[in-house]
Amino acid sequence: MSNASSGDFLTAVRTRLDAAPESALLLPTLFLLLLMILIFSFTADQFLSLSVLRNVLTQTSIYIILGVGLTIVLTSGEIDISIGSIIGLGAMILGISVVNLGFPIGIGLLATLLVGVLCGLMNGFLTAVVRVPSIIVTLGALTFFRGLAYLLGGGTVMIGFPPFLVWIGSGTFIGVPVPVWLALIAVIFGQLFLKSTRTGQHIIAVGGNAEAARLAGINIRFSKILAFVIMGALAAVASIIMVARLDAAQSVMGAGIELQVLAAVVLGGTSLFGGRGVILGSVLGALILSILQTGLLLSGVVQFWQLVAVGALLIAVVALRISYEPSEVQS
Amino acid sequence: MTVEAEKAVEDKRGGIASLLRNWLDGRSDAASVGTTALMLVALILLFYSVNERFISMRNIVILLNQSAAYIILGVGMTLVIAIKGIDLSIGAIVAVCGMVLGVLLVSNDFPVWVAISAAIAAGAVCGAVNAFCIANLRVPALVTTLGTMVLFRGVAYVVLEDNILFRYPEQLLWFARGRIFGFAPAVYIAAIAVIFGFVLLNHTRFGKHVIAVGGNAEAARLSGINIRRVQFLVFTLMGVASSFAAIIWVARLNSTQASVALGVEFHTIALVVLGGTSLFGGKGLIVGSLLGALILSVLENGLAITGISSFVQQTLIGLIFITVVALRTLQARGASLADEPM
Repeated sequence: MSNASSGDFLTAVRTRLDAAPESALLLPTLFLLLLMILIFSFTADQFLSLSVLRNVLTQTSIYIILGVGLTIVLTSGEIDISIGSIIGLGAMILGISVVNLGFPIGIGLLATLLVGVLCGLMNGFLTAVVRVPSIIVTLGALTFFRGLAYLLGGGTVMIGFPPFLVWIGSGTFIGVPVPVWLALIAVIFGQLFLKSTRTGQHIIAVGGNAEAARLAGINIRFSKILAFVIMGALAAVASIIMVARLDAAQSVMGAGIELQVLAAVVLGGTSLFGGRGVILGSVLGALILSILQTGLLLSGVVQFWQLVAVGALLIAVVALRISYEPSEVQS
Repeated sequence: MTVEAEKAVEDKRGGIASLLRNWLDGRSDAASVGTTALMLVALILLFYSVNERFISMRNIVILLNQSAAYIILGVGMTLVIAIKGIDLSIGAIVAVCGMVLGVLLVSNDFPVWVAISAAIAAGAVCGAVNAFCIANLRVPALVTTLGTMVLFRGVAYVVLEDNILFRYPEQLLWFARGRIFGFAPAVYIAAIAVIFGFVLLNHTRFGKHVIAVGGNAEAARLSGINIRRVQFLVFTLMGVASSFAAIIWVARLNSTQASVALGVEFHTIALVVLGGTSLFGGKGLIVGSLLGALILSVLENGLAITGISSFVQQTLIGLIFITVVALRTLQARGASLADEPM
């Protein structure tokens, strides 16, 4: 696809990057992020201000937390499109336990996390043990969990959460918003888990080549179920932040978020075919999506054009990435 | 459980089960379609026992009318899944085609045949955009259609904003509200789509290529099949199918808005999988998808008739879907345990 003179240069670049595959994946994403910040700092004058930055970071923290989970699931060679519905169900559990039944907030938070874990367990069991393809399992779960959320909460909006929860959503700790702290913890956890623990390495191995992993004595079922459980728990955390930010719980919460998160993770360089997860890439991907949306908004672009831009960007980035990575070509 | 242990369990069952399985192995497609048909009959009987009006000419006409768009989308999606692809953008394509109809017929006064041709062309163009990214740029179908799902929907929103366009001309409404021998024209269009899809997949060279590409792309390439061409045509056909669904949809609702058919891609994939088409490619059951679409409509219609709240309906549909697919997977694994790695 390139002529001889640029071919030499590209080969040289590719050889350099092959030596450090992780940073090779991160660099273009980082470049794209910086480019976008640069463009928007010209088109929107308030863009480079502390309050906008703060807003973008807080808004992105939910995507980042979900992105960490989805990166782990994709690395294991599976996919989870039910996360938006887990958020809706988690929000209902939190609302019912704290607002309707008056339980202490601690119990409400624990119950929400537990439900997230159970949802992940169900997805993981059906995928890894019954061996239904995960896109089908989580497609069904998408409807099922959302249905449960509506069953529990109907169409009502639950309000009146205790101050602690409101603090999680809009408070600060050492000058930084609490959701940003939570996102930071999730990223550090994800990075350490995937790169520096034996279980994390097993998940990468299972996603890369399940048969080879099995022959090496890795428990495939456990690795996959664990990936889904982590995803479920992180979706519960995201639902807590979402309820806390709005100070309200609704069954419809998180609808459609799975696609945004999937887009962020894929933008970040994580492979859809398993075996390669770039946690930091997902963070950058989430930031790119938020900055694109905020930047276009501040530049006075009609809201609906943002959708067009996000879709086009996603395809363009993945197309470029694939053209530079002959190994990933799926014919 | 290890493979050996599972095999041991397998051997113990022996007897009738293995006889039955041998019989089914020879007719695995017929068996899949048969199971789906049984499910449909069981559901119909169940709803009939709850409410006798369920099997009335009136309700059957309504039911078929409701399922027409699903059936057409299901035929397209069966081809897409048969080549091991997936298309998440069909709901957004329906929105784009609906937008074209709305702009030409409601905002302007174009003749209906012009608007319909334009809507079909718009569907084909959307499908071709997907096809180009997948076949030529080699972006995975999941990522491509995830992107175009947002992109096409965005286009519909840019043009329509939050407006709802209604008061369509009678000739367009005729597709859903007119009657030919008692049924809406939409039902006949769906029937033609099923016959077209069935013949295309099972009785043409192109259909053989579709199955070959989905079953083993590398082998298909080596035997001289133009994979890109097959991918391109299948995704473009899916776009055209979406445009027909859009025409029927708009005619039934007599309105268009940018958020129309939101989430329909999930229902469509669900009904194709219910029908027995494998997500691993290389197999497409058009008749199964027809039955899957009917099951979905019967569930929606039947649950509505029994007066169960829409919240319970959604939960039940999700639960039934997961159960059926899990059972089908277990059944398929039983049949081909020896070939399975894990």
